[in-house]
Amino acid sequence: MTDHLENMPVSRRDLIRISGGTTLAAVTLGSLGVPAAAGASPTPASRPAADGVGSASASPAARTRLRSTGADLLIRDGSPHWWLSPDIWAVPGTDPNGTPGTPAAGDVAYVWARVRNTGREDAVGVQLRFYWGNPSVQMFYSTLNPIGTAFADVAAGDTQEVLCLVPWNVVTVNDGHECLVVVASLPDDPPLPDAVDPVGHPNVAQRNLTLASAGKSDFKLTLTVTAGRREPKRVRISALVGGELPKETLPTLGLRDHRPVEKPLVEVGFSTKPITDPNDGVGGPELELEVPAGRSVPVHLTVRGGRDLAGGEYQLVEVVESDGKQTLGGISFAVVGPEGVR
Amino acid sequence: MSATPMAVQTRPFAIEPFTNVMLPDGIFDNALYKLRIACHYTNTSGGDLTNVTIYLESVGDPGIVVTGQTYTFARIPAGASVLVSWAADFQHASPGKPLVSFVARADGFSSARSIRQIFVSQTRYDETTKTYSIQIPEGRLELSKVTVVPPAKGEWWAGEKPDGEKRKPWHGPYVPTGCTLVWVPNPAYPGTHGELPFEDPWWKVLALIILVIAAIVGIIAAAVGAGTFYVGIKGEFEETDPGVVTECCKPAPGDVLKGGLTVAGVAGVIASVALAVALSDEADPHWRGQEATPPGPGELTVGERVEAHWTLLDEPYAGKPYRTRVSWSYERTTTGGVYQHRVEEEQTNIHVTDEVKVVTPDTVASPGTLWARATFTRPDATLFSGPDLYAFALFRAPQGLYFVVPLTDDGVGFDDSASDGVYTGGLHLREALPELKKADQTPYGIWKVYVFAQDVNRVAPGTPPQIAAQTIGGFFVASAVQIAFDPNLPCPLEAQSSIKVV
Repeated sequence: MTDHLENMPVSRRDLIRISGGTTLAAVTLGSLGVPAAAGASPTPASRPAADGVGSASASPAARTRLRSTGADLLIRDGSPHWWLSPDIWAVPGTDPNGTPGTPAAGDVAYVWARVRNTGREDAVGVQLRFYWGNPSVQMFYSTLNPIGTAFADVAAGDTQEVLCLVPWNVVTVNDGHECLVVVASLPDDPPLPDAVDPVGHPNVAQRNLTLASAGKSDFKLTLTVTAGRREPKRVRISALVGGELPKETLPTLGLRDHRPVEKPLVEVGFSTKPITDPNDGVGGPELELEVPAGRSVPVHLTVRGGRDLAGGEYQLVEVVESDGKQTLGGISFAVVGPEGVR
Repeated sequence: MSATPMAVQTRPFAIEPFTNVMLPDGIFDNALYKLRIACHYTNTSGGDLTNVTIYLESVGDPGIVVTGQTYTFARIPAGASVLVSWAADFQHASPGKPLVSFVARADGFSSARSIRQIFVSQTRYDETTKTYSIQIPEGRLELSKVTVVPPAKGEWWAGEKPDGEKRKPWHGPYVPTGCTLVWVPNPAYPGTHGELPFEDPWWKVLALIILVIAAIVGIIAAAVGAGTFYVGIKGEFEETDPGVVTECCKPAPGDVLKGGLTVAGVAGVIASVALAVALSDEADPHWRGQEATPPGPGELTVGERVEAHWTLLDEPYAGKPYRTRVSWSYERTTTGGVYQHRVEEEQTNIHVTDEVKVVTPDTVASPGTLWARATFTRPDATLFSGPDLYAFALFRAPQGLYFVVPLTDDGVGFDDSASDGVYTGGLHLREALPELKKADQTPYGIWKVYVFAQDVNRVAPGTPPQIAAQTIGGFFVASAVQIAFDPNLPCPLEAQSSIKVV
């Protein structure tokens, strides 16, 4: 096996398989047992699409391609945090080819993803599953809401933008500030754990990034902190203020030429109870929580002070859930001032 | 790299896979679970494209489950339109106009996406009121009191005679001669005209969908039993027209599964189409009734009833300008009163061909290739071409096994030149031999060739509804099987050509 690896380029996916947990290791053995050509080659089938006996449903010259069973698929994680994937975006409105942006509560929107085939074989029949979730830091598939699915063919080394045509009806709870998760998969892919893990799975990406207006009044949002079904957790919720979003991410928020403001202008606080009176402050700068197995608890976020942001400026706020030194998840906000998006 | 110059230019249409027939105007209905989403994909450039891949990317209704499939074409000539389709399950589809996206890519180009709407309806039957209903976003049409030319005594089935438990024989085809149509708009509307169904076809198309679905359900139930259609949809009509003294033919029962199903399906559609012919393509009774009965100011129309009865002056031959004498009454019920309008007139089938010419080789040596070239000439002497038609042929082996082959005018495969009006299909005997052997048959002898073609609704998206409504697709403009009012013989199934295999 070692010689095999030394003599062949090893993809990121291979490395993850090899270094993965018990489940992944078991799957790896199964996958390695299948020659690449048999396992993933999309060799054109020799039989015609309409095979004479029973169908008039395609031109006689059409040939079909067999669906790939596995491929090295990548939906890029964000930088500096994985939950800022630049490969997932939403288009508010009824035209899926419209301008990307942040949908408002009650809107419909279409979700797009960009998937790359980093392997050496074409990937045929890749299925992409699109989900939305309430604002939360660490996310779980069991609490996500499916939006829809889409198919894509991605040639080796190529990238394909994929549109999910099921309209995403942006719910009014949380004022429409929702999170998106996309999974690209083929039949032989290993099963995914319940916790959404984009770092461990290149074919999974997450976009927990939303536009927040904290101009005239405070921006408030209820985050959900969820524990796994069979394991309680003790976590810390904190915020980082300042920093910069990748330039390619800005248009997906409807921000074109906006400049980041490094010096903290906004104040971020957390509380376990909603703060209704502005005179009560914004809550603590961080919060420690114990969440029983299979349960979720709300965390109330308040962002204040965006009035000092000029038009064309934004301040990045990153809310992070951590367990000791390990970051479990996060959600980021591009905070704009009273002038909002120009 | 520029985008691949391939596009789906018109609305994708529904093909029922058991019978191979297109549903009226290409509309999908969730009473039939298994349907194929078909479209013509056109090379819009002035040059040939090579190594083209095409796949369906996504559907806007999560209740429609599509089986992923990628098609490849070694070459698609300039201007050619190729036919592609995908199997889908519509059991949980919602009535509406979901979007469907397709992606094409050719050598030297980046991928290009085409997004089109499809129309989905929901047909049901209420046993207690003996009423069919079809639900769409713009309202609900109820169809009742359907009178028919009585079908010939006896039963139809595909393959071996059914046992009566799992499969029940079909008693059709049913040629309608009258019905009551009640339209309940959603919402009630002010003014003269309400929204057209799907903002496109006339209301009568919804009634036609019901009749065709009833026919197909009856045929599928006879052939393969239940499981692929909504339980409760009735495939029989019992009220015969008391003014009719004749009876309708019946397809020959027991034909081997695939071909027999197709022949029966075509017969079912052709028979049902009599309703659409009687109620006119130019403007149907609902539109004309609305036009003639403008309601008072402030009134809302809450329901519209059409009662129609017609006499077939000719046998309803597909592709022929057969005539009907029709009388209908329209009644508009508003929040302020009731308005009525009556019409008596003659209507003629306008989905016609002047000539269908089929050319095949006289003799083919096994295991060579059987082929057929068909041209369909309109009354104005122009040819149907390219995506104008959804066409196919049945090649019937000497001992009875049918092979369904698509006929296309796309300049690829068997077809020499795209959009020249010559639709070509073929069958490689080498590929057919295993099937023949399985059926204990040989290729040697006389093969018969039966050709069928349905017109495709090619109205460009964005056309004003009342203009778009005047074009309806899914009518058979050519059919090897016809409906005759002779109960003593099977419905005439006439081969347009034959091939001797030696």
